[in-house]
Amino acid sequence: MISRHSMGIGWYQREVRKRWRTIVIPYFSWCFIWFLVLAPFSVWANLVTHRPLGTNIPLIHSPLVALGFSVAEPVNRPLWYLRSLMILVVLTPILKMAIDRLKWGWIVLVFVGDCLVWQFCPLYAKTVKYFFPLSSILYFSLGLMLHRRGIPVANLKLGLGAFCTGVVSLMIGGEGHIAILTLLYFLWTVIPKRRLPSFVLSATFLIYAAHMIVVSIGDIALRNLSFVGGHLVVWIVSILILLVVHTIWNRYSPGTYSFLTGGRSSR
Amino acid sequence: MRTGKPSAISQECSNKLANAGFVCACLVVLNHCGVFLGGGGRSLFHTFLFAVAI
Repeated sequence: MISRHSMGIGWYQREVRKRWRTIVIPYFSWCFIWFLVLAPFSVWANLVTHRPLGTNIPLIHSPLVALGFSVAEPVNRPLWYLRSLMILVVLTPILKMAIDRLKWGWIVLVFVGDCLVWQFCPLYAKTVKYFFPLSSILYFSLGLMLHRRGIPVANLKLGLGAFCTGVVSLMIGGEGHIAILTLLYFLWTVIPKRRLPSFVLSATFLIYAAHMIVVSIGDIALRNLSFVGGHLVVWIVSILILLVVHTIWNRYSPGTYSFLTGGRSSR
Repeated sequence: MRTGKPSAISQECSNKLANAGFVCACLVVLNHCGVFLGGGGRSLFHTFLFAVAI
């Protein structure tokens, strides 16, 4: 979408329609899959711990929440990102226009707005952030801007400087935009130029959408590994499991897999 | 800071963006495994990278 320059209504309708397949369907599907897989585990955990059977099962509280229609975070929490993207896609013409007119001024404006709103608007932190996520708008706009102006060429020395700045900024001020941007630049400099194998790259969406299921089960199975090494074991095993699931699923049921991953099954 | 060609993503950039998507997905998993990466930080991390990559 960000590579387009013509802004006719037809273009907008086409792009929004395309996002039904790549964003909306995967969002609701993975919320539902999360529920289908984890509800039996929750029932089992409730039985073992003698809690009421409905504890921790969203469907008991609200079927709509279980299906992803929640005001706050979706049941499959990482999917908040897809939900934000739905909003950003709808807002794209406005964002594009703002960038055309104000250029870096727009980025500064959103940046300042995002810094101030948390301090002075309690309602934003409570609910508005879910419908009008300023930090997502900021980074999406920055993505649009970088695409216009060109992405910075990776420079290792600058990257190391950015890393040090990011770490110091994290230690002093916590997770502010400066820490994020500098560490992001560092990441950009160290990411390899050569494309990773396609079966790894095409597993990205599955890792993103399904990891909470695997991690939750892994946490239960390996709950005694409470040291950092234990977390790392769960991390590595989870990614390996998801890579295997991706390979098998994509091989034996490519149609379903493509549908659920918004057509991201092959690259 | 030098930048690439306006409105054109080179093959190298395209490769890096694709790789960045995978790296970020792995970082998100790591964060959810309980290894601290910074709550808001990692969220914005992948908002940005996916936004560029999409």
